[in-house]
Amino acid sequence: MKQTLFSLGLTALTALLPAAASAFPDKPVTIISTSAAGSPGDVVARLVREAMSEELGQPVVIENRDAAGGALAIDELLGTEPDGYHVLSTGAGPIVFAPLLQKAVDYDVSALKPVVMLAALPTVLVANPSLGVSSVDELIALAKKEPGSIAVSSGGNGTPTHLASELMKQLTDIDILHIPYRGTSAAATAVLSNEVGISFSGPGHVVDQINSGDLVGLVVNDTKRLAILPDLPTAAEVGLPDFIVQGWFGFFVEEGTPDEVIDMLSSAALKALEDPEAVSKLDALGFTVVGSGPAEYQAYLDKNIALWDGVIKAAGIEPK
Amino acid sequence: MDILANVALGLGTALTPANLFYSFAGVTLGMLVGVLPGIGAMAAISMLFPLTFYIDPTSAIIMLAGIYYGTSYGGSTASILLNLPGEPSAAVTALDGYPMAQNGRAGTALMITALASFFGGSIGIVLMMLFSPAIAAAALQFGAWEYCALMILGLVASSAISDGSLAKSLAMVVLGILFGTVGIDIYSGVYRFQMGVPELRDGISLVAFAMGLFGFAEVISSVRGAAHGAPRIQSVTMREMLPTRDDMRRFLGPALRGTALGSALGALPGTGPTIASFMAYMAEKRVAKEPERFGKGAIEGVIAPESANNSAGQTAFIPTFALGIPGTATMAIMLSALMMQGINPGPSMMTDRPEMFWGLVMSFWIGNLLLLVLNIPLVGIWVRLLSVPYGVLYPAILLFVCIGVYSVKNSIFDIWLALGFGLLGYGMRLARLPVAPMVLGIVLGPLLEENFRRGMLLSRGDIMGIFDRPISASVMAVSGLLLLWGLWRGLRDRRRAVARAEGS
Amino acid sequence: MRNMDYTDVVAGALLALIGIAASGYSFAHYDLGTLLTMGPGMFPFALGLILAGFGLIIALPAVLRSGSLPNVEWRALLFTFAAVSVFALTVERIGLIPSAILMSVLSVLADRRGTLKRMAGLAVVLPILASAIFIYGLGVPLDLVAWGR
Repeated sequence: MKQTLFSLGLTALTALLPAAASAFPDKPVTIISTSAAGSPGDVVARLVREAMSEELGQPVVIENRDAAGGALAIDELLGTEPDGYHVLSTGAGPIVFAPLLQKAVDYDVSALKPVVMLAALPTVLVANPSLGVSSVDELIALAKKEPGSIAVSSGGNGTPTHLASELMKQLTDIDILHIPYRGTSAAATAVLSNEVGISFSGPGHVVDQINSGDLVGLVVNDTKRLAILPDLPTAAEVGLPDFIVQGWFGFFVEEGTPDEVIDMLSSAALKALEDPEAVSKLDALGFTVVGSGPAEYQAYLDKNIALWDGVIKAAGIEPK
Repeated sequence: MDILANVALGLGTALTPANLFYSFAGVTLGMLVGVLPGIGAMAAISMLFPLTFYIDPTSAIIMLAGIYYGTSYGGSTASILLNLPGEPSAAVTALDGYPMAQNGRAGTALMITALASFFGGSIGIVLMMLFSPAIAAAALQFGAWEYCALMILGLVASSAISDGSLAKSLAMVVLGILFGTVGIDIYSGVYRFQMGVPELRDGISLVAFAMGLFGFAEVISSVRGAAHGAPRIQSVTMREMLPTRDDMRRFLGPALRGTALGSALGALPGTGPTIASFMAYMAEKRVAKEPERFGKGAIEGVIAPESANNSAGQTAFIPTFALGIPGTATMAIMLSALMMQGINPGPSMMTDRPEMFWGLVMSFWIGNLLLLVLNIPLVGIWVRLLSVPYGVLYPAILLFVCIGVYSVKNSIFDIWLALGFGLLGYGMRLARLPVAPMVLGIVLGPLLEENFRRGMLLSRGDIMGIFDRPISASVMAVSGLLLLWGLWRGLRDRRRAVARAEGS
Repeated sequence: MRNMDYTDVVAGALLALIGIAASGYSFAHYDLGTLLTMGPGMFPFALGLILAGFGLIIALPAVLRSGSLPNVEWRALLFTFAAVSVFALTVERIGLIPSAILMSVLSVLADRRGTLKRMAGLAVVLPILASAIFIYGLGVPLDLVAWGR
């Protein structure tokens, strides 16, 4: 979409201000997104886009390239100059899970440098009321009594919601039946229709059903309680502190991009996250605002990859 | 009455000048963009939804919904005029719409399409107004075995979709299902038939598939013939374009049956307008007194699928709003426009923001009326498109198909895929192998496999699970009867032929 | 050699080959599982066999009957293929306008009666139309002109 007159005016205004230490940015910045238009990752990127554009004094445009699990977007980024004018917006799928679950990925993850982690989206474990459990403890007790009888839906084999159930099996030593669906929406519908007993879901899909009693919320797989589901206990509160399952969303650039450019992009995005309106919108949708810079982000990534590597190996899932 | 208060509330919202404008803008954009090959509801909405970030959320959803059902009005236009479906759900309309155009009745076909769309859309809206919670609850009764039985019914009925050899038609269904297996297997995470192409992980793009088989193949086989003949003569005066009394006499039955099937299939989260239009066409041909007219310009073959895909388009909003869970990717994008404004779309929207829900529903009426009114003068313009020599038209078709296919996922590979299917489609024409059954196969096949395997998992490997549940058992019974009826009719025809041979 | 319906013989045989290839590939590469717990290979394996069966049903009777060969529009086929291929190869590298010009020229060649005038006209009109609709109207992320990418 073409930029508004407003941001053009802003560009003219910043041109009058004393030149910054670096000339960056003197042309529009393109965010290449591995997320489909309208998906959670896209929503996060779009919510910070405008404020980031104001901060940088240049238009910021978003280009969705979700084909091939994001491989096309990453290839496109790696084909450009490492000058910060092309930024990758992505999540755990292409960065953490694809390299662990595929024999060969079509891009070089190590050529990507983290810029800023924007937000995380924890899963929520929900049960159909007819299962008769109201807490994680009761669920574990039921699963131990009738091994393999409780079915759990996921958005597909090897997707985060599937791995969440594998993590639960490993942490609690229970036996549940995994039923894959095509996507998380279908998986959420399945627990609502009682085709399966439990499901891991994004908070947004199930908040109303938990409030209305159509679903029973058991735990939020995070260290903090959610603003939209304040009564739902955290992983630590149900006695399973490692039961953390988060999707995350952030920006990367190509390796070789100057540090000061990375810092500028990073601080512009962090500034955008200070906007109370953006924060309240993200909160309302069940996201956790993170806002960590390059170093912190890298540390998080290393931990995240190690976590899922362990879960995948322990579950005996072979790379395909 | 409660409903009257809601209608009043909805009208109050939908009739504000701003919302009227956005509804108008949405349906107009949708209809025009829907005419472009390859750009269906999904692509149109994902390209245009950033426009809505700066407007009021109710207006935003009204406009996006307008784009959504507007595209299905526009999608059939190119199907009828050029044998080039604007989107996969309009593919089946080409089967009889295009022959109508070749017979000089393009204007009538477009008019009847607008009427059938309005009819189906209107009933869909009424259902949404009166029975949303009940329909959503019923839709939740559909589990793996029910979907599986429904797909089997679709496949059993599929022999009806084309004339000619039954073996050829069934072979094409199977080939279509086989193409549907490409991509990730959700049960194992295995990428099937990926052949080292990363883009094939997501499977074969339905748009590239349909655009190649219909668009490119049509161009290759028409270039020469059309260049020889004079521009096709069309009835262009308003009187000639109006449906005849005979056409209108044939309207109600197909429109009602199409709408019934479309409304039901649209309300299920797992199926959508494409399946609805195919099922409606097949059903119509089954009940027709003279099924041999189908495929040669039977107006019922246009009415039934068009009323079906538009009613399905409307009832698709029912699970989306009543459950707060989008049934299709297109619905997901529409809801994300609300998310961009910090509104979490859930079932509480209907109670917490009644003005939004009812405003949207009432805007559907306005939008559908606008579409009907807009369509009538446009029909004249579209039909004149046919007086453009094909030699000038086809380069534009090729270019637009290429960009349209590309724009769905911004993927060059999809252009190559469409080209491959274009060559295949041309080869199939030469061999008189029908294309439509293949489209049905690629649409139904993945759902069949997915739900069959899920059913087997859920009933712990007991295939009889499909007969244990009332809905799936009934659907299976219908499939069985259909199969028996087909066999009986085949036998009867043969016996008659034998009797005739003996008598002579 | 006696006359037969070569079209159906060839079509049926090709379908049978595709079916066997799909089955063979699934058998070799994917886990078939059992009928009760199907693996990823079972469905395509079975479909391939069914397709092969239909291929034979189409091909075998055709051996015994005569038929006519279809006319292949080689010129239209070749230039349509060329036009689309050139577009796919160039559009991201040189931009929509030059790529659409190349495509217009090639696609007019598909028609034996295409004229130079028509070629020139379309090479001017189509790129403008396409840019207006797709780039300005719908925001498709393609460059108008991009050299050296």
